[in-house]
Amino acid sequence: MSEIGGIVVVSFQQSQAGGGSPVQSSGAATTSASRSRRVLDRKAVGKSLLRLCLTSLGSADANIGRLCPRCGSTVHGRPDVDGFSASVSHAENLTVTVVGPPGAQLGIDVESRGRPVDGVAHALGLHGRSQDPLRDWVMREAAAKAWGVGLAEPLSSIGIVDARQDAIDAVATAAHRPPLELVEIAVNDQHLCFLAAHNLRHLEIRSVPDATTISSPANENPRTKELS
Amino acid sequence: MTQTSPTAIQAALTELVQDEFLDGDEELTLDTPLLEWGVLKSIGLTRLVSFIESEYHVRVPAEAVVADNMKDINSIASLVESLLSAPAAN
Repeated sequence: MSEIGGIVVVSFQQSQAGGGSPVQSSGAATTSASRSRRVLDRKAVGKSLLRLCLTSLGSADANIGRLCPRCGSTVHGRPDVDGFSASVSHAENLTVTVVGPPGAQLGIDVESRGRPVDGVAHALGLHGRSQDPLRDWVMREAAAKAWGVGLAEPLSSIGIVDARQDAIDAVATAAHRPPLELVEIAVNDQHLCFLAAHNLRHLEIRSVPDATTISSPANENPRTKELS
Repeated sequence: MTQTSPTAIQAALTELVQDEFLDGDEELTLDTPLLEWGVLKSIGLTRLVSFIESEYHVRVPAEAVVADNMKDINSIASLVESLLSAPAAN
């Protein structure tokens, strides 16, 4: 397996709570039109954060689009950034993005820690065997996004092995797919976020806009840290 | 007793999504793209699974928790119907 070095940039934006969107919708209208507007707002926040990451990497003008790996649509699907690997995740009032080298195969997922987790372990095929269902879900979804399959395949088909070494928290495996390394990105106390990547231990992870180095191969004791 | 006709299943699922995932009075059709529009955040699927299992007394296999089965009310209702029609598997 080849080693891929480089810099990965993570950015996030938190909004006022509510609406399932990182941007508050205006007015009291609750129609499908307002839902569509909030979706567009959410996509706009994701795109602006991707642009922030790209700017930090010296490629502010890189084209940002979308590409569905399943149907080829450019209307929905994962971020498609010229010359980079990228991923976006939304929680109820938080958007997180990550951009890095094209071979890094990045995937990121964030969920609110306050949400009910009833049924999560069962949906992962881990009934009675999960000590932290939310963590088990977020790690698997980050890996699924990195592989480009999202929820097209059951998350229960993904195996997780705790690593806890070389700045890595765990390794994700699935049949016929290259293993991915996982690290927790500690955005704040209210959310749980994991980043999945190919050979993550060889990547330096930074946050923007403050350029904090979260994890670096050169760091003897690298751990995740608060981005804010 | 829970109604298990296709239209009754669709109605029950629509009510659940409106009550649990929307503000209750948003427009929702049988083909509203729940995942694409962010109505259902990925992990929210598990709440749907719990509802289906308790309401219809079926077991939703982990392998069935995929986007194709959950993308809209029509798809979810079809999943429920298939589980109901295969009692031996449950």
